[in-house]
This record gives sequence, C-alpha cells and structure tokens, in this order.
Amino acid sequence: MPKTRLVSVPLRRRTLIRASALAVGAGLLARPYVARAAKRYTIAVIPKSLSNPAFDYARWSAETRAKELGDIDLIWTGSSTADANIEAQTISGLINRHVDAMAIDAANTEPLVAPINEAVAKGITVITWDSDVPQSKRKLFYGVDSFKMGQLLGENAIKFMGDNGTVILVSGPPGASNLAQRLAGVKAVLAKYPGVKTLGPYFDYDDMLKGQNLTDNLLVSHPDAGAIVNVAAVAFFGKVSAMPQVIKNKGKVKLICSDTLAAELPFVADGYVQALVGQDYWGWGYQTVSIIHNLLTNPNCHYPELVPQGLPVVTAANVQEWMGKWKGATTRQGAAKAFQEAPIGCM
Amino acid sequence: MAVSTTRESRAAGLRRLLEEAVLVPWAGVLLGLIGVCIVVAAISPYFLTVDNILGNVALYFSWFAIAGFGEALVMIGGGLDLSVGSIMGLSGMVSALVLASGMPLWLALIAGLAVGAFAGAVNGFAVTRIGLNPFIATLATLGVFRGMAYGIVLGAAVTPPNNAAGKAFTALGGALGVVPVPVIVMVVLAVGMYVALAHTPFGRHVYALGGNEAATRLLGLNINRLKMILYVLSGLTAAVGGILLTARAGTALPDAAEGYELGVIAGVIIGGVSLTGGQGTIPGVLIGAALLGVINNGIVLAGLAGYWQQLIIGLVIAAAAGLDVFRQRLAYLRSG
Repeated sequence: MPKTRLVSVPLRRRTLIRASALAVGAGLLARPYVARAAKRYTIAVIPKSLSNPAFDYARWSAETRAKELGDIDLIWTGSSTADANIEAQTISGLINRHVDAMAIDAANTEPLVAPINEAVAKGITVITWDSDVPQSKRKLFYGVDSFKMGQLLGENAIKFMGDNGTVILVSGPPGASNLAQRLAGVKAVLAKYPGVKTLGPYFDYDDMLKGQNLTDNLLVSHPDAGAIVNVAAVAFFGKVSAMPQVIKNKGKVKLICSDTLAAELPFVADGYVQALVGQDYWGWGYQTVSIIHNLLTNPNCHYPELVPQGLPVVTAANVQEWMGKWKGATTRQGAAKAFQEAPIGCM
Repeated sequence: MAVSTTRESRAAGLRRLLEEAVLVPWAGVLLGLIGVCIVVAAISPYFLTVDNILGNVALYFSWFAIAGFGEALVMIGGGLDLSVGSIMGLSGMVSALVLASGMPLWLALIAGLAVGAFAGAVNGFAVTRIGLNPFIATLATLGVFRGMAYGIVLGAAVTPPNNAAGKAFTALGGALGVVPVPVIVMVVLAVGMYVALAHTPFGRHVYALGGNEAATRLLGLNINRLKMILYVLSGLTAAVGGILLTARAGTALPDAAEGYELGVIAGVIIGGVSLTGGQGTIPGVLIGAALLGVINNGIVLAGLAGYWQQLIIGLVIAAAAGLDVFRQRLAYLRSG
C-alpha cells in the first residue's frame, strides 16, 4: 500500500523556504538588539543560616547593591540552620544552575571544600564572607579577622573585670571556623594574665532559647565568675525579660558579647552587658556583591586574600549613638540610609 | 545452713524487687534521676537552689515535657510524631504574627493552638487515611511545617508588639512568684493527661491500640478515629509548648525549636514509653524530661566543656532504650 502524502512536495519545499527566509530575516532584525542587551550576572549569596536575624541585613544590603548595579540577578539561598552539609548541597545545586558567582558564608569548613573547588573548576567565581573556607580555592575572604575579633572580646573582658577571675566562654555551633578562631583570640589574650582562668566553651548551637537558658544557667552556677564572653551571642537577640538571671546579675558578672545588632543594644543601655564587639553587617551583602561584580566585569581587578572589615565596639559610652542608627534601620531603605557605605573598589 | 538459706531468700527477694522495679516503666529512670541529682548536688552548691531548680532546670525541660505528653500518647498508641519540633516553631510564629498584626491575646493563643491541632490532624490524616507509615508521614510534615514557619515570614524574626497584648503574651513566659508559668502549665497538663490516660476508657483504648491493634479493631473500636485524636492531641501539646517558649524568648524565630523533636522523643523514651507501643506513663515522661534537664544543667554546674553534652545525653538515651528492651524480655519470660 503506497504511503499517502498529506502535503505535496513542492508545497512543502515552498513552505520551508518561506519559513527559513522569515527566520533569517527575524534573526537579522533582532541581532542589533541582542547585541545591545547588556550581559546579566547571576550571583548567589549564601548565608550560614537563613534564620539568624543578623543575616537579614546582609540580604537587604545585597539586594540594595544588586539594584544599584542593575545587571545582577541575585539568588539568596542556604540552609535554614547552620548546617554545612546542606550548604554543600546548595552549592552543588547552584553549580548545576550555572550561576556566574557565589558568595559563601561557611557553616563549617570541611564539607564545603570539595563543592567550592568544583565550582571554581567550572569557572564560577567564588568568594567567602563572614566565615571562611581557607583550604578551598575560593578567590578571597571578605569579613572580620575572627582571631582579632576574639582578641577584642578578650581585651574588653579584662577591661571590665580586671586581670583576676574566671572567664566563661560561650559559642554557637562547635564546628564553625570563624567562631573557633574567635575563641582562640579570646584565649590568646586571657593567657597573658596568670590570674585569669577560663571555663568552657559551652555551645548553644545558635539556638536563641538554648542560649538564653545557658546564660541563666551559667550565672546561677558560677555567680563568682569575672566575666562571660559570648563569641556568638544569639541569646541576646531576644528580650531582656527572657533571662531573669541576667537582670538579677546586672553587671556583677561582666557580659561581653559579639555583634552590635539592634536587639542587643538595650542590654548595654540598661547595664546588663558591658561591651559588644560587632561587624559590618551591611557590608556582608553590599560589599560582597560589589567585590564579585568587580571581579566579573574587570579582568584586571585584584584583591588580597583577606579583605578586612572594621570591628566596632559598643559600650555604655556610645550605645545611644548606635541605638539612633538602628532606629531607622527597620526597613531595607532605612537600613541602606543608616549604614550607607562606599562600595569597595579594586585594590 | 539456716544462715545460708536466709541469705538466699534475701538475695531472691532483692532480685525480685529489682525485677519489679525494672518492670515499672519509670522506676528505673526515677532512680537514675535521683542518682544524677545527688551527684550534681555534691559537685555544685548551686544545684539545689530555687533559682536553679525552678528557673533553669524545670523551665528548660518544661517545653520538652509538655510536647512530650502528646508525643507519649501517640507512641503508646503505636505511632510516632517526628513533627513536634516544627509544630512548636510554627504555632509560636503564628501566635506572634497575630499579635504583631494588632489582634488581642486570646485570638493569638487560639490561632497558635488551632495551627497545632490542624497540623496534628494533617499527621493523623496521612497515617489513617493515606495509610503512610507514621515515621514517613511525620518526617514529611516535619519539613512541611518548618518550611511554613520560614515561608510565612521569609526567614525573618517576629517580635510581639510592646502593647498590652504583647506584654501579656511575654508574661506567659515569665513567672508567678518564683515558679515559671511554663512549669505551672506543665504540671497542670501532666495531671490532666495522667488522669485521662490512667483512669478513663480513653486511656485504656490507647493502651489497647498500641498493645495489639488488630485485637482492638476486633473489639469494635474505631481505630482510625482514635489515632486521629492522638495526633491532634500531640499537635495541641506541641503548640502549647511552642507558644510558651516563644513567649519566653520574647521573639518568634522560624527556626525556634528546630531539632527539639529529638529531645522530646528522647525524654519520652527515657521515661519508659515503649518504642513498640502499648506501654508508658505520663509520670514517666515527666521524669524522663526532668532527667535530660538535670543532665543539661549538671554539665554546666560541673564545669564540663560543652563538647561532652551530646555524648552524655546520647549515652543516657541508649541506656534507657536498652532498659526498654530488657524490660520487654523480662516481661515476656515472666509471662511464660
């Protein structure tokens, strides 16, 4: 049985020729516009944990800078809690999405080395911020020198308690390299004082409720301690009323904490916490996006391996000034105004 | 000869007493709790202070115990609820959101509890109607409910407003005199749950369901309805715990109580609730949670670095689960 043709050969050929001509014509017409459209860059910013309020500002600032630059598609993603294995999976997923660059805040170092190296091997620009993965092939680390931050925390402990007594150390998750370095910095300072003994570290795993309970626990069980140095002070992100022992203690055992977030400032203003040593939260997003954009668009752009942030210290002396800053920072626009800073250029 | 007979009868009596003690689901853990308390009290003079016992130890384990009561019902009935931590976080978040939108306290509490009950009903539906294994069903909803807590606020924290309703909400996490409110709620719930489980037909049905589901069905009981009630109660108690811990913290975080399901289940198992169902008591759950609270407190009091905390708690859970297996074998041998 002969095959029936639904369309005659000459008609098919004519149709094909017309379609090809149309396609070529459309292509020629569209070409100048395609060439003129600017290249867009997909940048993924990955915080250590999506739930830590400190990273809200990093998100806002990354979005602000992406909007300013105009040619960036920003992806803000990560693990709900500080979990390096989930973070490693996130990085692998982003490699498959062929992003142009990643800015990673490491929950832990080891699980992230292989995915970061894989990303770099596939031509993705990778930098780290806040918490580094120094053994990986990432381009640079933008953040505070964690050891130096620890030293500042230790120095403030000595400043407020004197050079005699017990200092209790508290941290977040035990595996985070930046926190381990902060602890090392605190210990390095305290080791210079023979009359100072350290206890701990104790860990609250970045769980605010656990941290609050732990702080109260420590104040009840060690009322004669000189100071508690908390290098990842999520316990102080809640309300003062959540820690009755802190209220009761009111400066007897000195409390020296990391971060200078809005929620922590009343603790200083009311005399419950003696010193806060913070970071440039706005810079976490704003400057990482700036740095990555420079690296992607300018092949001659260079940076040192550590691009350092400043380390602000808040005490009773300057807490009002900081409270004023944070008052306006409840929205993205407000925060952008309060913490406005110039983007970091190539170095 | 007479002396050795007396010794033998004494030894046999002691052995019988020990066996009886092991057979009572919570007797072993009560002894363990007393032992740990003695050790910690000997190490630190601050252990047996009112501030520490009520304000630290009891407060810390209260939300684990509260959520544990509902979890125990499900487990005694032969099920499992892995989603309690997520329900705690979601309920607290919803209550805080309702308050933040200017609504009154009673509405915030009802909303949080309703979310807990609904979440429990979803678990019950997945187990009874879809026929999913409780482990799989609640493992899935663990992610779903946690994801909802993150999604509705896009990962942000929600702080109740500083108005009358917000202050009243925060007061729920405070204390009446020296006794924290969550501890009072825990005791009231424990009494209610104990009566319901030990002295009502409902309680007998729960034990029967966990002991032998097929036989219970033959008795004419509506198995699916009973299971649904147990999961809803588990969701409700988790919601109570979640609302109280949010009130205590003063801020609702989407990751609040993340991973707490392990602490809740650990307390329940340590308290003598059998993993295979049909056994367990509310006093046992209370004691199990208390033991975890004392260990947690004791590590700090003893000045042990936090690196050891999880190891010690893990060993206690392993010992309790081992005791459960031993108890079942002993009961089996005794039954002939």
